[in-house]
Amino acid sequence: MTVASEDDRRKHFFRMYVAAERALHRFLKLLVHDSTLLEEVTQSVALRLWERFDSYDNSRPFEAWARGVAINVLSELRRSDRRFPRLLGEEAIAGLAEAYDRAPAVAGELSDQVQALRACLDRLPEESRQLVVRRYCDAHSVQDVARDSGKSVAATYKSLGRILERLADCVQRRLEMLAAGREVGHV
Amino acid sequence: MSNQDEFVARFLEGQLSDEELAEASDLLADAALADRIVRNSMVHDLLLTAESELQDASGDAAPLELKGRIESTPPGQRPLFARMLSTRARAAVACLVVAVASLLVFRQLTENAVVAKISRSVNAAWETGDKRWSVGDTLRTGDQFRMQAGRCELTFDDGTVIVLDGEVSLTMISATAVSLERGAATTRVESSESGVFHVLTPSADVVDLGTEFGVRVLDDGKTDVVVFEGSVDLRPSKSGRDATSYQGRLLFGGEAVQSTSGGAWEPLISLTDDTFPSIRRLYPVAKTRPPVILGVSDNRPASDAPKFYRICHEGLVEDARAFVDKTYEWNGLTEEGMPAFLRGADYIQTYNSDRKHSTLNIKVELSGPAMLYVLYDNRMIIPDWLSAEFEDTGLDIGLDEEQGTLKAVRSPIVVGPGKGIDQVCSIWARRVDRAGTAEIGPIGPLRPELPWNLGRTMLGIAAQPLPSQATGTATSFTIVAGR
Repeated sequence: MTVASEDDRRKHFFRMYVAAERALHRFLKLLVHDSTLLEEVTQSVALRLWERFDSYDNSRPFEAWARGVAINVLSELRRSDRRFPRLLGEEAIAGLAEAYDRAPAVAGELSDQVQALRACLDRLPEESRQLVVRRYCDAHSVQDVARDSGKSVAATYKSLGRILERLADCVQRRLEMLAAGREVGHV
Repeated sequence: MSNQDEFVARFLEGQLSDEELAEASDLLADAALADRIVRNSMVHDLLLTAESELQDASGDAAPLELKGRIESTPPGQRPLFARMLSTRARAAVACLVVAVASLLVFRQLTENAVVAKISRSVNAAWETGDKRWSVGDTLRTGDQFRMQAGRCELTFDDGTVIVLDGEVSLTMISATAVSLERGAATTRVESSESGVFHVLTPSADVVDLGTEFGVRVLDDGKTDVVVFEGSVDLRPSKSGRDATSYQGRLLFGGEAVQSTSGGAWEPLISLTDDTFPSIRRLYPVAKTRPPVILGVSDNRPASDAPKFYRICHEGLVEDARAFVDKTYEWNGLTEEGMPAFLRGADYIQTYNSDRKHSTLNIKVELSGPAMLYVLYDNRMIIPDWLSAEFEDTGLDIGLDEEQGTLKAVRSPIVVGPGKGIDQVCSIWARRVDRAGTAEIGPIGPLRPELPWNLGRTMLGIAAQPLPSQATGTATSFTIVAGR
């Protein structure tokens, strides 16, 4: 192995990794519900991806391959003697991995996604929009948001869940429209 | 928690309790809920990282109040995940370069090293001219293993075990790889590190991602891959003639595929318990009668995961594995064991995650007159097809579930009847007077009076031949590929 080829390989890996980093982290965050453990897992996954990069098939999506590697790392953790109460079970992980495989590809760059989100937020009823603002922009806890609005915590979570679903549908539709518009040269 | 909206929000916010997270493992087997979590997580992630991303974005169409508040959020309040990832993970990756180079040198030094030994064998037979391997013999890289009949167990230095069955041709590639040219092999990987052990075949490279899987190379070059526990990464073979046309994929426990001549993989719908050798029991168990369950199929859409059914001939005994994707076991409720009429029945290991599949219809092919049994979770509504066509025997059977993360509510799996029972299923029976296909399903929903997030299990299926069919010539099982 020459120095040049090793350097190319490293650059190639970093390019792929950085492009997939955000989505991979979002996947890991669904599986690991403990911030300290999540950091540990994220590092282990990054290292393992590099170790296994020789076995990565360029014809396959890097992100899907990386999710598979991440699942391995979590399986190994589970098989160790440590207890991980904040780690999803294998069945749930498999269920989410399958859901990722089924999910339509997220169209557009990050800036497109943010733009779509802005437009969708604008279409929310005022009360719902205020809930999003208080929780995600003012960075208040859900408990504080619930107390300030005079609602129960459970009802506030319920509202948040409904809003997230509504926003997800809206953002997906807008991104698809944007992609279709680009295809025919309208955007 | 009584509402799915609340569950999704608390899940994404990381606010589920340990017990709720354990229950989530059960809930997320529901494809619709898993799809929603994945869909909603993208928006949730965008909202959490909105500050930095919205500042970077070129558009300025945000609602004025929202945009102003986002821009004024102090950096210290930026979400954890936007801040923590990149630098540490990337630095850790860079440190590995030297270690990888050292590993390559090490591999070169270990060529022709001893990698495994023959640990057990039963009635193994060898072709004239080929080496006759014996228990205790060591295998080196490059060694070729040609068995004509019988069973043989190879144990690798790291604890990985491969059991070979019947006519097998295998070449030792390294301490972590074998090439299976023909025959069936079941592999159980004990290494703490997954993604290391490879079984290479003419059409695929099967990479262990944890625990136990079967690989079978047929005479026409097709490859069957079955995952019993954990998962495998299925990659196109680098040397295969159709290498470029095969698609790689991940397979999880309870899933099975067969390569096709066109280069794709198609689901293996059902297989029998003797298609692949058992890791635990090297001696095949003699059967006393022909099989009564000949095949299983269902109406699962082609886009679904390639789940398989496992038909176990005379297999329903205490501690029989209940599902292909879970190591749960059927047991009698008391020390007296399961009802006598069920003992030694043929049964089908179903796919436990199908318990929420509200349209699944299972077709069971019977070889002759039989009593057909359905083992049905008492927590679920009894569907019309069950109450109309089957009779509740009034007897129950227990399910001994693995604890997983539900240690607070489940007992460990225990050997023997009446021990470790976690769930109770009613035994429903139906007399089938002639050979043919019986339909079962769909499974009912959870009883409405129970909490929506309560666990439940998939139904079990068993059959005993009626007396006139209990003796006779054995009928061959068939393996069904493609739905």
